[in-house]
Amino acid sequence: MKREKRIKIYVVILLIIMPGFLSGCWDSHELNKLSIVSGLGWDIDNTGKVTMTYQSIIPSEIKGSSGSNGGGEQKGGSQLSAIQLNQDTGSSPYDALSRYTQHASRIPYYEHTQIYLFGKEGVQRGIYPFLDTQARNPVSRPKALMVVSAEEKASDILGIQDGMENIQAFGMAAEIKLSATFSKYPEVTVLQFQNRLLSKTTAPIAPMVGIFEETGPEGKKIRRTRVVGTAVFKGDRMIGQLNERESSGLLWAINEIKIGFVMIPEASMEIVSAKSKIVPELQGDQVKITIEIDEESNLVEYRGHQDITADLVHELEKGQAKEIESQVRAAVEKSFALDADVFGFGEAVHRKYKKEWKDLKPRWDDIYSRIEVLVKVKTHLNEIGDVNKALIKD
Amino acid sequence: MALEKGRISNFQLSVLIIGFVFGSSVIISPGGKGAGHDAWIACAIGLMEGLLIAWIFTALTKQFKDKTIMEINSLVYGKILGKGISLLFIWYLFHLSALVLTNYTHFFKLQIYPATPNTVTLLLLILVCASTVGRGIEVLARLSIILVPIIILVVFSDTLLLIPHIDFNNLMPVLDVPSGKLLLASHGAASFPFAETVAFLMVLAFVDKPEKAPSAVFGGLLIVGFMLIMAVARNAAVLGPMAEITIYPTYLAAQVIDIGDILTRLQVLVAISLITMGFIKITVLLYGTVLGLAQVFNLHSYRPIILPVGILMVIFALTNVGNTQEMVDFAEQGYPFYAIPFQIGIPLITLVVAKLRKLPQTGGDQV
Amino acid sequence: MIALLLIGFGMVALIQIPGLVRKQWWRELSFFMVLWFMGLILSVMVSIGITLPPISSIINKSLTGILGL
Repeated sequence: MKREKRIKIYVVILLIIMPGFLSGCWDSHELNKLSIVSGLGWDIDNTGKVTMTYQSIIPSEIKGSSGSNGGGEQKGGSQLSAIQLNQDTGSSPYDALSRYTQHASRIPYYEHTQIYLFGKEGVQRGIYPFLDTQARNPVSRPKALMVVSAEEKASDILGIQDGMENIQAFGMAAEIKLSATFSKYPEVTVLQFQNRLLSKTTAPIAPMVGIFEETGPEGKKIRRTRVVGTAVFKGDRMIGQLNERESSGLLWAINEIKIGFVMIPEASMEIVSAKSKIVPELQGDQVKITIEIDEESNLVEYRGHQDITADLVHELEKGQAKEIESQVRAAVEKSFALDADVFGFGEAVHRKYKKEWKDLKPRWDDIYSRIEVLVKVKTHLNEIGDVNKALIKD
Repeated sequence: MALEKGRISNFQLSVLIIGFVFGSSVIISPGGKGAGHDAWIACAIGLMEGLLIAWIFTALTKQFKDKTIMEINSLVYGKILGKGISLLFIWYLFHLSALVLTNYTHFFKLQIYPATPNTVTLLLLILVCASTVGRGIEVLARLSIILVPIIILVVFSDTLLLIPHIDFNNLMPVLDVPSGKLLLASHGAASFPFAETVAFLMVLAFVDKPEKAPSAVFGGLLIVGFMLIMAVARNAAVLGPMAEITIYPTYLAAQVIDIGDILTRLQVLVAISLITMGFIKITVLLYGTVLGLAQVFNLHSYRPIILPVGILMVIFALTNVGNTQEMVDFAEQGYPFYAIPFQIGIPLITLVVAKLRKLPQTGGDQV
Repeated sequence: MIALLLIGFGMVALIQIPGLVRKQWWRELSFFMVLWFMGLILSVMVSIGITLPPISSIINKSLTGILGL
């Protein structure tokens, strides 16, 4: 009896002490002591000093309708906004981060950061310190998006209140994902960027976001963001960019076309599905790459004032194939000009020609622009829509 | 004096083996370094080596039924030499347990509880292990029947949820690594974790049907081996080249899971797997250590020394490496060789000597 | 810190020793005391700040030195 009673007392004591541990006394983070960073911006000036911009969420200000424009920058306008911008400068990313606490009332919390935005000057000087932090720091999410700013500073873009989303970084992330879904510009996560960097031959890429102005209601000038291009890197520096057409071509080649449109002079098609394969071939020292594309689409717009005939469908398919091929060619030409293997041709050769790759790899920069590229496109127009006779005939 | 009166069934033995081998391998993938994206092949070869080693030590236990390695050593080598070799083996179990605790601590300190002192994390774990050991091997076996299937489910779901992110191109080209490096990595995969099952030389004595025990061991090893191969391959396929750089690839891979914005942040399941499977592994090792000590020193029971040995393990775990990189270095470079005398040497030599001396007398000549 | 350590070790001793004395298990008691003292001294050393030799690293250095890895 005595022993059982003693055990019961021990258990009770344990039960009282345990919850103190289980809630994590040393590591507890209270929500109202956190500053949830939704977007992180990185700028570097010509002295090499780094400016980090944090876009943090003010939880109480998140309402159904967006508040107003203006992102709550340090200027006097005290308009209500769901986000708050803070900036810090230092000799390295972490140096800047460490100064955050001098003017913030809360600890930054990066688990919800959607976007890492890099200023134009920064990417031209090289973003390695930032990349190292991303890989090393356990709180960074591998699926956050890498974005390059087409304007000078990342801080400018993070301050723009745009669109239907209250929280600007979430909105921009959604914008980028949508443009990737519509096969216009790539969506690049931190993990994908890191992997491209680790492969010694593939060039990292990232979408570029720019600012444009438009005149809104009451004649007020509103600044908005949009995705404007694809940045091409060599190592950790940006060396060039792809425009809209070249970006689409890139997506066609690397099998990242989801939905979207193909425009030819007399018609528009909506892409239903698309698959592509990169097939390498080695002939002696000459590398030949065949990009095989298989696409299915529906006809959504025909401006030709004619009835639809079976022959016309074939014509349209051929036209589509030509258009896709020219987009891919444009991307290939640009990548040759930049001498950057954005497609991963090197890795494709590696996968197929294990032994030869050992010689080719160190010379890849020289070999790259001399690769023969063949583009084979197969298109299929599935549906022609509800009408097969023209509304106005020629 | 029966130090251990409990008996476990063969099924429980298999489950224990699965939990034990999972141990800390749920986070530190076996056969990783040096093999690049062929790590899963290294893991497979390591599994075969592990099965071979299991064959050796199960042959030993088949020869000497109902005896732990301590008792076998005393019979084969005579009391003094036998106890000396047994103490070496106990040292291995102790050291291994401290290594697992070190892995555990560094993972938790990095990813989950950066501010909590290592001591607290370790003490809480050791207290649970110590109380389980105190109740005997049967309790641990019954616990593992609950815990292990849950974690098997977790590992499978992790893989299923990552199917959309798998890119088989990341695994190619196959056999890209020079064969010397591959074999070295395979042996690494064998010594951690497959051949560590040699610790079960302390447990196999308590199986209720010893004749079937070897197949239970092989079965458990095969199951967990395939799951680990699958996990290693999946990590490489999902993460690409990053899988070779990260110290904890399974954890990083779990961060990629994002289904409809609802099923996210599932990386915590990986941490839970570590807690439960690490618990099983450490408990088995702690059990082996105290039972072995009690047998070598002829104690009435191993219960009084559980707590002090556990505390010494914690102290050892806190101090045996200077920093995380030293821990990684030891695991990759020195440990595969350091473990050889314990994993292969002691069982093999003891088996050979036993056969030469035609032991045990009562059994006559057994093959 | 040291106070906590002493309390902890004291508790461990309190839990185990009376039982051992009662059963007159002198062998177990002496074994226990040896381990207990080792634990106590080592933990006090660690909490004061004396660095204990990192055994795994030492083993690693010697092995890689010998095997030339």
